[in-house]
Amino acid sequence: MTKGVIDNPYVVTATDYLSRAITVTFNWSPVNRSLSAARVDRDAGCLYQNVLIGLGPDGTPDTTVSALRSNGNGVVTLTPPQLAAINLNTIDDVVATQITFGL
Amino acid sequence: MALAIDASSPAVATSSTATSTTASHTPPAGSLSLDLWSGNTHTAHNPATPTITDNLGAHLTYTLNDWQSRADSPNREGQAADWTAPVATSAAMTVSATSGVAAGDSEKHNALQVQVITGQHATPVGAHGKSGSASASTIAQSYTATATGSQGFIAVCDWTVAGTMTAGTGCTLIAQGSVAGQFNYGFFRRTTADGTSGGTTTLNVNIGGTSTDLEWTYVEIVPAGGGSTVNATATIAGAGSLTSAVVQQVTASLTGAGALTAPARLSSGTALVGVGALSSAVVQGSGGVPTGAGGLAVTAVQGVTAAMVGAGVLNAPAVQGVRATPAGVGALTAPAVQASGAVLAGSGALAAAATQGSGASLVGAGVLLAAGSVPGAGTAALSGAGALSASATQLAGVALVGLGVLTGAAAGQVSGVAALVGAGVLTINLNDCVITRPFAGVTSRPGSGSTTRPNTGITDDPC
Repeated sequence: MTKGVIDNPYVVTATDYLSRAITVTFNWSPVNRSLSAARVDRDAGCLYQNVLIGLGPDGTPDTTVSALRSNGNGVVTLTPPQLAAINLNTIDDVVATQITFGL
Repeated sequence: MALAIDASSPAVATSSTATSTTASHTPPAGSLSLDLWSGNTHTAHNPATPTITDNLGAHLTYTLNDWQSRADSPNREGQAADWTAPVATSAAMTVSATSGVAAGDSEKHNALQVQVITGQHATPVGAHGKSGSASASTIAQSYTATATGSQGFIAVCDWTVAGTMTAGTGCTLIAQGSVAGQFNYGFFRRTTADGTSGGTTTLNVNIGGTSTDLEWTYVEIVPAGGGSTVNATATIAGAGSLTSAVVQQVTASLTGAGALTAPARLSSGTALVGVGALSSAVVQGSGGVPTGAGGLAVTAVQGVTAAMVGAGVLNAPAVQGVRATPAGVGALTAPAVQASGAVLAGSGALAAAATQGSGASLVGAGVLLAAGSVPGAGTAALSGAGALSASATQLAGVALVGLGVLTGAAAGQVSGVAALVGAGVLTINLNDCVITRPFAGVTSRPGSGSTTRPNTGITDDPC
């Protein structure tokens, strides 16, 4: 970790009330900052299933178009095209607004 | 009712804008929204107070418990805060916290962790505070818990970005991470609601490296009700400290060395068997008994016995039918009132204001100061060597059985007895009426106030 430098990979983790975790990991190119992959790891039973980046039209994260959905799976990997489809092309797109997790 | 983290608690929200917004969640009615927050600061810029709100039509009422920023000692970068808000009605909601960004400041990064808590007290916040550090790799934030069954939470900002934060002893991670490499946030709680009233609770956090810019706030959430009740037993067999609010036929026992603090009521017993200190307000039929060496401070009321068997100090105001008895070496200070007995069986000093049928007795050597002044058949007796000073009135008796000095003001009263059985000095006020046992050949001096029982040829001086 270095002050002022975005980690690569960039990892965000949350735990639910029973300490079950969901983690999203973004790998990105240090050359052009483009995303090369994203992976969602989710503990069995974790209440949170979706990674929510940014806010939706109603001002809540729940309606954002930039959502990585686990659909109940333990591991989900997204490719650059899949990420581009939800408006995530570079690591700056990930960190520019806000990140949280939802049901 | 025990505290619990509710399943409706939303995940951490992190943001590079000024505002972090949680996902929609529906806390139950009567719950508490505990909002932990950590934020960035711009070097040498003091931020304004962060704010919080929700998307409800009628917003919750948020109370900022603490906010620590670079404006506070030790004046390090970063900031942390926590709020609480009671949830009266269950409804889907998001919570948003906004950094009070300083003018011209682009450092807006922050993180918000909402914990929905149930089982909290109507006044849910106990101990709370804030602090910081200019150099630390761990945090051990201690506070004195205000209630048994309470739970501690801490919000941390590591502006240095020293490493990955982890939970220390007794604590559990809620969330930690970095916001775009600008600062690290960490939210932790005590793993269980293990607070004990009057005891020390510590929130332990490992920073993952040495940070020179740490800021944090902490808060104790208090449960509804709480404490030990009916027929419960709180026992610590080893060394340590036991703080117990024991109520109704409860026993709190500390067998080893340490300290026991126990307000015991209604037929309760507080016992310190080993060495240490027992501080116990025992009321109504309760007994506070330390059998080892140490100190006992007992307020014993109504039919209570406060007894210290070992050496030490017993300070017991004993009232109504009560006995305050230290059998070992030490000191007893006991204002004993109404048919009470204050008895020091060992050596030491006894100061007792014994009134109305009370007796103050010092069996061993020492000093007995007893004001048996108000009335009625009180007895002040010193059986061993020493000094007895007693103003005994109205059928009261002051007696010095052993060697020593007896000063007895048996003044103006009815048939008071001042007796010196052994060798020593008996001082009698000149105006007192003292009647000695008959001795042949003793003649009182008229007007002296002293006279003998009638003997042949002796005329009493009326007094």
